[in-house]
Amino acid sequence: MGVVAVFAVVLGFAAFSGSPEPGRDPASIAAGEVAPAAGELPLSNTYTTVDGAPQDSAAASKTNGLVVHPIRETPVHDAPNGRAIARMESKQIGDTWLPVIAEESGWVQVLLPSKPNGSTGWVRSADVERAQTPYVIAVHLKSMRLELRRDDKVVGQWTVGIGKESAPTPTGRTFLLGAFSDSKQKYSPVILPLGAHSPTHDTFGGGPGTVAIHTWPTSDVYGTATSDGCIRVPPDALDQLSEVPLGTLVMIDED
Amino acid sequence: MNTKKLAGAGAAIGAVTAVTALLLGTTAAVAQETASDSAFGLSASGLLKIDPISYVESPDGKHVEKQLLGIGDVLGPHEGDIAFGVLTAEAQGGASETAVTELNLLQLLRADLVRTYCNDGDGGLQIVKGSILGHDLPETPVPSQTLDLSPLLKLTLNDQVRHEDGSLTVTGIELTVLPGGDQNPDRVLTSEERKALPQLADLLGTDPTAGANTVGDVVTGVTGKLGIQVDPSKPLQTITIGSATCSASNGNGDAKSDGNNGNGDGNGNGDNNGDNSGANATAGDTGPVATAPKPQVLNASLPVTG
Repeated sequence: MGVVAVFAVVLGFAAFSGSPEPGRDPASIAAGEVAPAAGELPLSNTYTTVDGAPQDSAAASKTNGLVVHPIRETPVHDAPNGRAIARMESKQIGDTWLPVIAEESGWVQVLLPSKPNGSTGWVRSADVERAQTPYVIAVHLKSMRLELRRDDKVVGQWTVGIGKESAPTPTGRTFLLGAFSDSKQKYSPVILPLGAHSPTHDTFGGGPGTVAIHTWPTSDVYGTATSDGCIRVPPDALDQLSEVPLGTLVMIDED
Repeated sequence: MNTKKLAGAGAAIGAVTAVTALLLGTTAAVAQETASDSAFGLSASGLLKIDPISYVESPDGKHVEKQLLGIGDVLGPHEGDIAFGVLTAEAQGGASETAVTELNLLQLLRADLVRTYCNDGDGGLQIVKGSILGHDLPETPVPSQTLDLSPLLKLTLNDQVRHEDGSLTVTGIELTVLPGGDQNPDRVLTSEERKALPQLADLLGTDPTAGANTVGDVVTGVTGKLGIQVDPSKPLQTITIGSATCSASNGNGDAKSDGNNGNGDGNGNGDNNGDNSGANATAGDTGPVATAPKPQVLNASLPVTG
């Protein structure tokens, strides 16, 4: 059989296979490039908006440190046994870890990484691995201070830079979503994205306006409100914060 | 001597599809968001599209089973490209399973047995003597384990998806050729990836990858050789071995954890629910909770607000 004939078979299949299935490739969705098909639940990640997600009703309360990792792709519901509003994947920026803010038999309520800020959802307990983080990160906007607490004791505190008036750092309860190095962003060797988004930048630099903790090349930014929403911390703070488990609460207040 | 193995597989798979259509008639669509208990042994999507082979479904809970013996006879000269001994799929109320024996996929992936199972909202994968490109495969992979073998081949084992109604789909093995999507075309190949290139060249029956320095070079070489336009965000070809979907008796898919923890009664933690707005971390669950792991710093590109 000639090579040409064999390739004809391959190309014949290509021609008859029709258009590719829309929205089925997780990598594309994760990169924010492909919208879900009609009737399909959106993923909940830093690129997406999930409609109908219950708002966090206790944004100033800390939890007892329970964090969960979805061990399989699982639907996010608006209540235990309620309506499905999104899908959660086991990996986003590395492994997905989410803080638990409430629990009922067979279900945990978690903070979501998707828009809008303060979104929560319920996932099945059977679909998550549980772990405990001893840490809480507290960010006080007025005093521009960041505290790292371990078992309720302050183990580090720094003066930090926060969002400017026109692009403020959002308040409320969010969490460490990931830890990555980005060769295209030279200002910080490690960037720690949070589950929150800028309230004023719907997109920023080609991204979805994700707020992050990272350092900055010059120290004059600490103690100023000059960022576009991110929290700029000194290098030694970043070193310590990079060791803190994903899913750890980041509590941002006006104080 | 190299043969046109990928193209050969295309013809072979085409033959499989035709034969299967004759054997099974119209192949049923795979229900994605229902609790119908179902299973199938083999399917493919992308450049080559194969509807699920040996698809069974039990809409009424009754046991159904299909078995397909080796199809080497009909593959002629392409017998070596895709082969298996016996392919079975069965389903009944709350359970489904599929098994493929003596699997040999494109001379790349071999296993004595690939068994994909699902039972009352829980499930998994068993592989006996499995290997790909000389790497042994784990016998009972944890859910959603991914092996990136090169920029060009990706293997996902025991991928699990929970559906809205609590039913579960377990996908046994998914082999992706040119996974696409998250690849940075400018990334320079690692030495391990370079080592894998000859196998890809062998697979394609040519060497489009000679002198390739980056992921983009390889993709361009391969797609150029095939003479097709490929959407770089989508896999060129996906082949699935084993899929099992089953419903959960209580709709929550948590039969397993219920059995382990009795919903927290008797451990002294279960009655604290609701006394504050935060989480009761361990209330109602499986005893001591591990300390959360330190994060791994990954290479990624996500523009943040600066």
